[in-house]
Amino acid sequence: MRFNEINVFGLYVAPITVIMAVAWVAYVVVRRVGDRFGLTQRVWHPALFELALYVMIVSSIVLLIARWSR
Amino acid sequence: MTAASPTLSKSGGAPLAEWLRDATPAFLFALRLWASVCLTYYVTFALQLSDPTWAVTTAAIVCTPVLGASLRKAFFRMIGTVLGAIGIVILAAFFRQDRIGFLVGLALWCAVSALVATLLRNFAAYAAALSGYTAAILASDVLGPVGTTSGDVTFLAINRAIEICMGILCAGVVLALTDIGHSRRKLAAELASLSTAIMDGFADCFRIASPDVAQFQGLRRDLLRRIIALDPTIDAAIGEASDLRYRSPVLQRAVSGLVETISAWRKAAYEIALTHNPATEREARAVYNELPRDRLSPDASGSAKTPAELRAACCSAVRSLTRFNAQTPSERLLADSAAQGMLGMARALNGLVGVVDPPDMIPVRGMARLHVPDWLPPIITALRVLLAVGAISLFWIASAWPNGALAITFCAIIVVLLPLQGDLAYAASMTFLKGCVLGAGVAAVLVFAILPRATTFPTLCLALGLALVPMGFLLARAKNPLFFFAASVNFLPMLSINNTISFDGSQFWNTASAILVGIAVGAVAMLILPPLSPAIRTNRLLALTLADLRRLAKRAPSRRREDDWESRIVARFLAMPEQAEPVERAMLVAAMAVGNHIVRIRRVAPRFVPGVAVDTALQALAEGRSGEAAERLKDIDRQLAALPRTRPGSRAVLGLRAGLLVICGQLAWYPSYYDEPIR
Repeated sequence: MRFNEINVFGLYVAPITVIMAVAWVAYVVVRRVGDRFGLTQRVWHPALFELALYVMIVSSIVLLIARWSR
Repeated sequence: MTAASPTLSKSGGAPLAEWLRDATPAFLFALRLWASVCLTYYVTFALQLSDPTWAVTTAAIVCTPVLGASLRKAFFRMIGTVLGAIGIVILAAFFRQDRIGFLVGLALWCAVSALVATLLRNFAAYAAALSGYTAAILASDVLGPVGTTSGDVTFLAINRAIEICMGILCAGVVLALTDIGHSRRKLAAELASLSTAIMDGFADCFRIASPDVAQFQGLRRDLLRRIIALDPTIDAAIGEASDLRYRSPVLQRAVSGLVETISAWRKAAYEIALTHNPATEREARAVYNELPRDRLSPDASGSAKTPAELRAACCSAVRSLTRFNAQTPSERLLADSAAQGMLGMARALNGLVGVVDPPDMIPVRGMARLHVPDWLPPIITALRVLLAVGAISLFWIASAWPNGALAITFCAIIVVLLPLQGDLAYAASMTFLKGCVLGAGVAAVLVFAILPRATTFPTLCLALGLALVPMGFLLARAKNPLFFFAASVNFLPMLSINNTISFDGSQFWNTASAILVGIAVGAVAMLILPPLSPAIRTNRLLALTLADLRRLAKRAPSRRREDDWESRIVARFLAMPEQAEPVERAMLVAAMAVGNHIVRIRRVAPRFVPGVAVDTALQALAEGRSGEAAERLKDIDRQLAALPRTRPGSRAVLGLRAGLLVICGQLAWYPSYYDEPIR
C-alpha cells in the first residue's frame, strides 16, 4: 500500500490533504441527508457524532485507496 | 455547643463547596485548553510539520468555555485561514520581488478584511478578520527577516494553512470528546422565556389599557436588550448542532419576529395612551379577548401548550384580528397592532419549534439579506488598518529590524480583530497588550527555568500545564476574559517550541519584543483614529433612517426597496450603541412604523382619494414639514371618513385611517426629529 504525493496544478501536496478535503464534501452531503430524515435530532451528542462521522469517512477513503493501489 | 458545631461546620464548608461547584466548569475548560495544546504539539511533531507555533496558537484561540462557540469559531477560522492563504498567494503573484508593492497590497488586503468584518456579525465577522490577519501571518514567513518575497509562497501558504487547520482539528477533537454542550437547550430556554415575557406584556397592554405611556417602557427596553443578546447564543447553538445551520433563516426570522411584536406593542401602547377614554378601554379589551391565553413554560418543557400549538394559536389570532369588525380607526389600529404582534410571535415560536421540535417547523425560504446600517464605521476601521500596517511596514523598512515582519503580523491582528469590540476597541487593545506582557513573563519563566529540564514529551506537557491550566481557569472565571485570553494565546508563539528544541535567549527576547511592539502600535492606532463615539453613531443612524424615510415618502425607487424597509430599520436598530438613550431607540421604532404605513397608504389610498392629495401630504413629510404633512393627512382622513360605509372596501378604508392616525400621532410625538433640516 503506497500513498504518493498528489500533483495539484504543478504543486505536490500530501495525499491526506486531498483525502480530508474530499471527505469534507462527502461529510457535508451525508450530514444534509441525515438532517433531511431527522437523524441528527436523535443523536445524544451531535458534535461528537459529527466528528465520528467525519473520521469514518476519512478512514473509508484511505482504506478504499489502499485497496485499489495494491 | 454540640448544637452549634454542625452549624459552624456547615457555614464554613458551604461556601467552599459552592465555590468548588461554580469553579468546576472553569477548571474543566482549563484542562481542555491544556489537552488541546498538547495534542496539537503531539500531532504536529508526529507529522514533522515545519513550524507548530501557529497550530498550537490556533488550538488555544479556538478553545472557548462554550462548546458551540468553539466549534463555530473553529469552522469560521478554517474559512478565514483558507481565504487569507489564497489572498497572500495572489499578492505574491502580483508583486514578485517587489517588497513595497507587496506590503501596500498586504495593508490593502487587511483593510478590506477589516471593512467586511465590521459589516458582518458574530463569527462571520471573525472569519473576515481572520482572512486579513492570516495573510499577515503568512506574509511574515514570506518576507522573512530581510523582506525579500520568496518564490515558494504557495508552498508556505499551504503549509501554514495545514498547520492552522491541524490546530483547529485537534482542539475540535478534544472539545467534542470532553464537552457535551448545552447551547441548544440554552437557546430554547431563552427563546421560550422571551416569547412568554413578550406575550405577557403585550396582552397586559391591552388588558390594562393604561393611560401612562411609560408603564411598559422599562420592560420593553429590557426585552429588546435580551433580543439583541440572542445573536451569539444562536451562533453557539448552530456551532453545536449542525442541523440548526439549515434553519438559520427561521432563527433570524424568529429574532425579527420578536422585534416586530415589541414594535406592535409600542404602537398599541401609544395609541391607548394618546386617545385614552372609556371607549378606547373598551376597544382594547375587545382586542384582548382575541389574543391567545395559553403560554409556554419558561424552559419549553412540560408546558400547557407546546411551541407548535401556541404558534397555531397565534396564527389563528392573526386571522381573527384581521377579520375583526372594528368600528373606529382607533379600534382598527389596535386590532392591526395586535395582529402584527401575533404574527411576530408566531415567527418567534416557529424559531423555537425549529430548535426543540424540527419536524413541526414551518420552513422559511431564502437567505437573510445583509443591510449595512452605516458605512462610516467600517470605512474608519479600514482606514485605521491601512495606516497602522503601512506605518509599521515603513518603520521596518527604515530600521531593517529583523523581527519587523512579526511585529507587522501582530499589529494587523490587533487593528483587524479588536475593532469588533466596538466602543471598547482601545480599552480592549490595552487589555490585550497587558495580557501579552503577562504572557511574555510566563513564557520567559518557562523558557529559561522549566523547559530546559523538560527532555521528554510528557515533561513538556507538564511544563505547559503549569502555565496553561491556571491561565485557562482564570480565563473562564474572569469578568473581562480578554486579559487572560491574550496571555494564554500569545505566550505560545513566544515559546517557539519546535521538534528540535533550542533555547536561545536573544531569539526569545526578539520574538517577544516584536509581538509586544506590534500590539502596542495597534493600540496606538486605535487611540489616534478611534471608532466613532456612541453619540455620533446614534445620531448618524437616526439621520440615515430619516433620510430613508424621506426617500420613501417622496417616491420609493423600487417595490423591493419598499418591502425591505422593515429589515433595514431592524438592522439599524441592532446597530444602535448600548449607550443610546431610550428615546432615540423609540424614535427609530417610530420611524419604522411611519415608514410601514407610508408604504401601505401609497399603495392603497389612491383607490379612495385622489393620488395628488396623497403625494402632496407625503411630499411635505419628505421636505421636513411635519406639521403641514399632518394637516394634509388629516384632510385625507376626513375624505375617507366621508365615504359611505356601504361602499366596497370599507375595511380597507378603516385600515387606512388607522395608518393615518399612527403617522399623525408619531409626527406629533417627535416633531423636531421629523422636521430636522436635510444635510
